[in-house]
Amino acid sequence: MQKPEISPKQGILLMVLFIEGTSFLMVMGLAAGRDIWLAYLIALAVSMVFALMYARILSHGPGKDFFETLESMTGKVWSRVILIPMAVYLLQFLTNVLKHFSQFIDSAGIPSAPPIVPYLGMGLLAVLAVYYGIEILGKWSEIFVYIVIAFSVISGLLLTRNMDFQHLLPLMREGVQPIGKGALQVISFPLCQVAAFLFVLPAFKDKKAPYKVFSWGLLIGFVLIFIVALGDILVLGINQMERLYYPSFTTLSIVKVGQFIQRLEIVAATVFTLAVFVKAGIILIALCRVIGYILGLEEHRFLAAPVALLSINYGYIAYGSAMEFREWIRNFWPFFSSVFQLLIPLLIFIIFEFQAAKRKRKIGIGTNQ
Amino acid sequence: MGKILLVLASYLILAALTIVPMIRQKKKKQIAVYLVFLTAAAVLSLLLVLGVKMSSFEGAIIKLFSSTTSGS
Repeated sequence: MQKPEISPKQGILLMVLFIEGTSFLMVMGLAAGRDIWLAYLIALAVSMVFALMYARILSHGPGKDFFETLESMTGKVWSRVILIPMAVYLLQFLTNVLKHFSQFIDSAGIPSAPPIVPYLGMGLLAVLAVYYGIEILGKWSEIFVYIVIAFSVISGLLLTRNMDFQHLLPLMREGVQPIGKGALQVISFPLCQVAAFLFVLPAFKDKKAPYKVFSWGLLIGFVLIFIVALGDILVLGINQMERLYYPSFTTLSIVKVGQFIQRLEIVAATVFTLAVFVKAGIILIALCRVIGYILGLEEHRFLAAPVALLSINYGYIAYGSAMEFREWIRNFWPFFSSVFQLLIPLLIFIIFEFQAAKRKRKIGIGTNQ
Repeated sequence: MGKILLVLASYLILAALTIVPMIRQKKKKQIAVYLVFLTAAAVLSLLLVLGVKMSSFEGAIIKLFSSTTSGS
């Protein structure tokens, strides 16, 4: 099978769109209340450590992708054992993203449309992303990322006259615990979700390339969602934000500059769709590659359609209502996803470091003799 | 009944479109894996169309925690 190739720049842009994805309209970290900005900054610091850990995992085998490195470090059997829970997690992750999109269209876009229509529409786009591959998705992101960045920044600027800094005060009234909770929410959704890139990024020849992708991708993506979250709390305040499913959608409907620029929520919906497409595409590529590796398949693209259909069906079964979905994302996802986004990668990282040190020692002994 | 037929027809068309080239290339393993995933998706679709109530991991966790917190 031909190995996919993308440049580090394309990797960064894909990560930016991935982070922006579902978190553009659904702001996380609300558990921190008025101190949400503090939670975001703490989340960035923690996530950066994990992002560098993901990069370190990929840089262990220059010229090798994650699967080849994992197999060379742990062997054929253990690499598959490690990846089975990741496949389950990625399936659920994809389900959440598709559900998120379908629910958004249902509640804010076209309420009378059957939910299966947006589900299938986005699912089909994600399948196409798998068929065309990460290379095309990377090239696509080079065009569309600028639209997303420009909209996020410009909408933030247009909202400045509606902002009230009193919404951020008093500082740390509820103590440190809510900030920690909020930070965990932001870490798990969306910052450390970039762990999915472990399975998607191709083998870079340059050892530093994964560091560039993960650090810059995370940082730029963070800045964008931080602008959105800060804009929401400054305009709406925490109480109103907690009542809304999509606070950013409401915030952008307030924008009014003269008679021409007003009600930007339709642009927000478009930007949201673009970013969700990248997110769903990346996760489906990751999922197909992981399943393909576990089952020892030479080709993984043919799995895209049945796996996407499985995920769409599961989305119908998983959540009884929109409230249940929101509850899962806000209260349970941070703990559930930590196992797959933080603990398993940490385990892989420790194994890699241990094996690399062992090999170095062996080489050292060999040269001494 | 119409919905069931529609779902079945959709899955059959999808299967035919994908499997025929695989049969020509004699990729037995790929065909087997593809059929397993597609059958699983088709069964879930049919159960949903028939209105069969299924419990999920997420629903079970949410129920468990809400019953624990309301009980305490």
